[in-house]
Amino acid sequence: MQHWLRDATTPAEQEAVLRRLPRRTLTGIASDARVDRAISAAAALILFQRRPALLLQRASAHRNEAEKWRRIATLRIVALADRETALPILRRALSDADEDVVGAAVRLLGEEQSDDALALLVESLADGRYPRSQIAAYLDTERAAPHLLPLVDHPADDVRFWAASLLRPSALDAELALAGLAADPSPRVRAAVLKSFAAVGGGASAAIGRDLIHDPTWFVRAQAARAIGSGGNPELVHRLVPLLRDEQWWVRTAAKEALAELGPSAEHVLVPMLRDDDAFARNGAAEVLLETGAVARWAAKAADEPDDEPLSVMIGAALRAGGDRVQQAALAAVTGRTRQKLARLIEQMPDSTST
Amino acid sequence: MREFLFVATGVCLAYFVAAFGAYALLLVFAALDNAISSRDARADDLRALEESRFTIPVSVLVPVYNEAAVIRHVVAALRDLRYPELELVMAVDGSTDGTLEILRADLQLEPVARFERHIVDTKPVREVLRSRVDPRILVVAKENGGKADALNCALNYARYRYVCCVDGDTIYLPEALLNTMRLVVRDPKSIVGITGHIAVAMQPERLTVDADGRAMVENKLIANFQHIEYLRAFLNARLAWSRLGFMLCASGAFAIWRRDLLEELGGFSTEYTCEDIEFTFRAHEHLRRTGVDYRILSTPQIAARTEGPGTIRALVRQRERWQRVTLEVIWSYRRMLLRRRYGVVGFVGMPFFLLTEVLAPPMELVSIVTLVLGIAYRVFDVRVYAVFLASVAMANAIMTSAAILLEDISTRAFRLDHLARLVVLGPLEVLVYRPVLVWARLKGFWRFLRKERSWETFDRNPRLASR
Repeated sequence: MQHWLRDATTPAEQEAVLRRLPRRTLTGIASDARVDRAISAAAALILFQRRPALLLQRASAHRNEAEKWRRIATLRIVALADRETALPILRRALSDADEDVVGAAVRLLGEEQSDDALALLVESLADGRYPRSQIAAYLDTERAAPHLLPLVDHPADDVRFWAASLLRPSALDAELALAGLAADPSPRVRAAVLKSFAAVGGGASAAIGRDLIHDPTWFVRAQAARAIGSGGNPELVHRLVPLLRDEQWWVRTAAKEALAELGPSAEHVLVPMLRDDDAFARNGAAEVLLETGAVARWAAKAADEPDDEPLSVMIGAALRAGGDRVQQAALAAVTGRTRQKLARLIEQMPDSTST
Repeated sequence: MREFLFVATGVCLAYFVAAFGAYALLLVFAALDNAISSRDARADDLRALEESRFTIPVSVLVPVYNEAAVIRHVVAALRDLRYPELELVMAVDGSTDGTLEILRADLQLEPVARFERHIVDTKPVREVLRSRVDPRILVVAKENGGKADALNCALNYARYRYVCCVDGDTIYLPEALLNTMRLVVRDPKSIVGITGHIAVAMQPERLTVDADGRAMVENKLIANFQHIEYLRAFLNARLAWSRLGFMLCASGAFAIWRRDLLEELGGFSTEYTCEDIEFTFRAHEHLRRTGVDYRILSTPQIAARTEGPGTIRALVRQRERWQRVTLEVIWSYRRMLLRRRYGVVGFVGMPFFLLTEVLAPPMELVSIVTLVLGIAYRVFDVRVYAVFLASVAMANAIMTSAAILLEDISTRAFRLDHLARLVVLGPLEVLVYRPVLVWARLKGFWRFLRKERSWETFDRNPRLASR
C-alpha cells in the first residue's frame, strides 16, 4: 500500500488514489488496524458511501467462521465511516456469543473514547464476557471515572478489583470511593486500592499503606510497603522495617524498595537491623543502606577519620550482613582512599559470608 | 536379491507416502490457522496493548556465551522491543571472548546487591550488574554451565509472571513481544507457552530491504534453502501443531513461558543437548498427566532473525545436533506414545515425530542403498526412477510453495520477485540440499545411538559492513 500512496501527500490526493483501488484492496486497508488511522478512515468512508446497506447487514450478524471474520472487518469499516450508525451495532456485537466479535467491538469502542463508548465498555467490564484487562486498557483515563464509580459497590470481587485499579485518587469522589474499598473482603481489591494510591503518592498513599501494612495477605502487605514508599513520609520507616523479616520474598523486596525510596531517613532504623537474628533482615538492611548511599558515605568519613572505631564497626557490620554482593557493589561505588579503606575493612573481616 | 529389493522399495514407498500424507494433512490445518491468525492480527489493536499499564509484564531471559561479534546488535534489538513493561536479564555464561567487557562498557554496568530467588540450582554467580543507561537491564555473570544453566540462572533473577527465553545471537523484531503476548493477555489462565516464527539469515543484524521497505532474500543458495526450510518448519508444521494441540517444539530462539510452570517443573534441564524441545515435551507430559487445561501456541508473525550456518560443514554440525536432541527427547518421553492420558500429544504428535524424525534417517538410508543396489542389479529402470524422483521433487516443491504463500499472506514482508526465486528453488531442494540434511541426520542418529551429548561451538559467518 505504501508505494501507491508515496506521491499522495494531501488527504485529497490520498482519497483520489484510494478511489482508484479495487474494492478488495480498499477493504483490506479500511479493516486493517495496523494501517494509519486517517488512511483507513478515508478508505472506510469510500466503501460505506458505495454500499451502506450491505455493510450494515454484514456488520450486524454472522452465521459461520468465514462470515465472522468478514463481520469483524466490516465492523471496523462502519465504525470508522459513521460513528453514530456504528454505536448500536457495536453494542449488539458486545453481547455476541463469539469472543472474537466481542473483542473487535471492545477495540473499536476503545479507539472511539466517546462518553457513550466508555459507558458501553464499563458495562462490558462488569458483565465479564471478555478479558477485563483488555477492556481496562481503554478505560485507563480520567474521563472514564464517572462511569466507573458505581462499580465500587458491585457484588463481584473481580469488578470491584478493576474499579479499584482504574480509579485514581486524584479527584475527591474517586479518593473516597477507593478509601472505602480499603476494607474490602477481597485481598485483590485491597491490593489494587494500595496500588492506585501508590501511583499518585502523597499523604493519602502513606496513610492507606500504614493501615494495611499488617494485612494477613502477603501481596497486600507488599503493596502496602510500596504505598508507604511512594507516600514519602519518613515517619513511617519503622513500620516498614519489620517487613524485612517477612516470610515472603516479594514482601521483603517491596519493603527494601520502599525503604530505599525513603532515602537517608530510614538509616537510623536500619543500622540496628544489621545485627538482627534473621539473615534476610540483615541482608535487606545492608542492601538498602548500600542503595541509599549510606555505606559509601560512612566509608568516606572513615577514610578521613581513621580513629573512629564505632564507624568502622558499623561499616563492617553492613558489609558482613550484605555478603559478597554488597561488598562488591560497595567497592564499585567508591574510589581512591575510600575504596582502599573499604577494601581493608573487607580484608579484616573474619568471614565475608553472612547468611 | 531381486525380491529383497522389491520389498525394500515397497517399504520405502509406503514410508514416503505416509510422511508426505502427514505433511499434506498438516498443511491443511496450518493454512486454516494462518488464515485465522492473519485476520485476527489485522483486527487487533497493538497500540492499546503497547500503552496499557495492564499488559502483563515480561522478563526477557538472555543466555549469552561468546557472542562478542553480535552482542551489541542483539542488545540494541532487545532494548527496542515495543512493550510497556519488561526487564532484560542477561546471564553471561562464562564468556571468554570479551562479551562481558563489551556489555560493561556499552551499558555502563555497575555491581548491584540484588539477591536472587533461588528456584533452580545453577553454576555459581560471579557478579550481578545493573545498567546505568537502561535500568531494565540486569547482567548476571556466572561460571560456564551451558545454555540451560544460564537460562535457569536468569530465571532466578526474573521478576515477572511470563518469561521470554531468547538467544544471545538472534536479532529480534520490535513487535515480537506484542505479536505474541497479544494472544496471552486474552487467556493467561490457559496459555502457558507461545512461540513465534523465526527467520534465518547469514548476518541477521544486516537489514536487507528495498526502497519500499520490502525484505529481500539473500543471494546465497545455502541461505535460500535454509529460508525455505524454516518457512516450512514454522508455517507448515508448527502452525498446524499449534492448531491441533501438540505444539511440541517451542524454539529456544523465542519462547515465552509462564514462570509458574517453569518453576513447577524445576526449570530447564541440563541433561539434554538442547533445552527448548525437551522443556516443551516435559510441559506437555506434565500438564496432560495432571489434567490441566492448557495451550502452547505458535504464531505466524516473524519474531526474530537468527544466524544460519554459512557453510555445508557448519550446517551439517547444526542439523546433526538437532537430530540428536530430537531423538534424545522422543526416547525420554516415549511413554506418551499412544497413551490415552496424553490425548492428541500421544495419539497424533508422538506418532508424527516418530514418523518424520525417528524413522526418517534409517528410511532415507535404506532408500539410498536400495536405489544403488537396484541400479547395480538392473532391477530399476533408470527412467522410472527419474520419474519417481521428479514426483518427489514436485511434491516437495508444492509444500515449499504453500509455505511461501502462507508467509506472504501472514506478513507481506518479502518482495514478490524474491519469493518467486524461492518457489523456483523448491524442486531443486531434493537434489541439492536434502542430501546434506540426510547426511546430517544420519550422523545425528549415529551419535544419538552412541549417547553423545556434546555441543560444538557455532562458527560465526564472516561479517560484512553493516548498512
